Amino acid sequence: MSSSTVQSTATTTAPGGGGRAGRGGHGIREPLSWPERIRAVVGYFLTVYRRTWRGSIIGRFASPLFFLLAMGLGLGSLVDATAGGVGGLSYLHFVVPAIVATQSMWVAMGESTYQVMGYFKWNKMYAAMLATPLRVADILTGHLLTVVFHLATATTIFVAVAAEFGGFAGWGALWCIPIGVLTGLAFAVPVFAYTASQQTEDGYNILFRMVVSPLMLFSGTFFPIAQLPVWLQPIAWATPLWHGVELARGAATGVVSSPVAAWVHVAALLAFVGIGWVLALRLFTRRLVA
Amino acid sequence: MLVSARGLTKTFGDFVAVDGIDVEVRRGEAFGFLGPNGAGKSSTMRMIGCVSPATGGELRIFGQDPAVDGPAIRARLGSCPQADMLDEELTVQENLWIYGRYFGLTKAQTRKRATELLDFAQLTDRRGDKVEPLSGGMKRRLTIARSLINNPRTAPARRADHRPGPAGAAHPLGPALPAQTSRRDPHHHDALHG
Ligand SMILES: Nc1ncnc2c1ncn2[C@@H]1O[C@H](COP(=O)(O)OP(=O)(O)O)[C@@H](O)[C@H]1O
Ligand SMILES: [Mg+2]
Repeated sequence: MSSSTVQSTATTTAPGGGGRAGRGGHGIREPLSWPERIRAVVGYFLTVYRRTWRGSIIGRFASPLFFLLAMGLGLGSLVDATAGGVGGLSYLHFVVPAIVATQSMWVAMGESTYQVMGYFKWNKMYAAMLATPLRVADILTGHLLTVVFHLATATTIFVAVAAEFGGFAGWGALWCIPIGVLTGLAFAVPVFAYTASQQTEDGYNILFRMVVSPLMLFSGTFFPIAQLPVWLQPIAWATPLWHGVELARGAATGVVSSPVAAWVHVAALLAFVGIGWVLALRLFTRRLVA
Repeated sequence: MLVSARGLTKTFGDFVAVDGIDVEVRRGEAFGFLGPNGAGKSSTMRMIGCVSPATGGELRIFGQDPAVDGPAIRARLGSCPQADMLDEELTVQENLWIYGRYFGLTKAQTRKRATELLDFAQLTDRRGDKVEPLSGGMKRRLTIARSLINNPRTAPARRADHRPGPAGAAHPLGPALPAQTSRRDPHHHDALHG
């Protein structure tokens, strides 16, 4: 536009147009603190959740039951009868902590793919938030905290149901909850970044078929990765799920190869979260602030 | 001075969308950009709304620089986007309540303001309904009402199909209100339009 045409009319006042300063009125406003901004963002996502929780909560209870039935009673009794369990553990106690971590991965994927794409493209809620004092980092933080909430709820329900049906050997099972949340975040944060880089949902096909499904099978979930061909094993080390599975299993069963190994797993998961955060912030900003 | 721009420029790659415009808008003025499709009106309004960084030139809103004080300026603006950007799964009033919280209004302030704005936008009887089945005009009115939740000093709005009309005191939602209830000529408008 090289010139502008001025169109001037009398101003009309909308309701409540007093001259009062502060946030309710016109004029200079105190800046919002970051906890206020993040709380406002979380408030939106929780309002959405209040409308949808009934649908998701049934699945949260059902999925551990299906897994326990299939793995514990089905596969587990076979493995225990023919091989005497896995490394001194009953198959059920071997597999349940790993499934907690795997379940976290699936919950995280559900929250960070189509959902996030929807807020970019369909209802454009991220863009609507950016027309307010909120910043990109507030939106990302608030949304990810909501994902933490979903992961914590799903993992707690899973652990409670599995414990009720004898899926754990002891109280170490409680560690599976924070470990499940961390494992889920190690997926959610990088996948938030991936979603921001995608214009269409087409990429998710490859993500689910080539990354998520194989990870579920080859991360030591259902059998130790030592059973895999040697050349495949380093791939497991490079994925968040294997670290989550090893941590959850070690914590739940008390069978840990070394404390150092446990800290390496935690560090690896934190690295996925940290690097994912840097990428997500950059890609969200590039997409939303053009 | 609400808005002042000198040589304001916006480029997308090599493409120049806004080529060095000068604009001044004073308090009490209603101001509109006119131009053919693709002239750069929306791009200009997005820069003024502090949701899109200027590529060149100088821009001041309330005397502040959007590049430095974007969030503080946005706290005082009422920005009405071209697309409605409503959460259609939520109710009419939930859309307002949520938005007020983004500006740091307390729950009580937000609810009070939402009640006033619903009345203003003639949506009071639909306040508890989901947004999705509302008519296009009602959604538009809700978006406009939402842009006023923080009681802004200036309210930029972008709407391609507005035509300017002569000056006159009237309801600010004139063009968006249904013809039979509009309190004035439907072509009048007062907010900033891109
Ligand atoms: N995000 C963008 N990326 C690339 N080009 C853009 C973008 N936004 C607008 N443009 C281009 O800038 C020009 C001005 O667009 P716009 O400001 O929407 O015009 P108007 O609102 O006056 O019709 C158009 O040619 C448009 O294609
Ligand atoms: Mg336009």
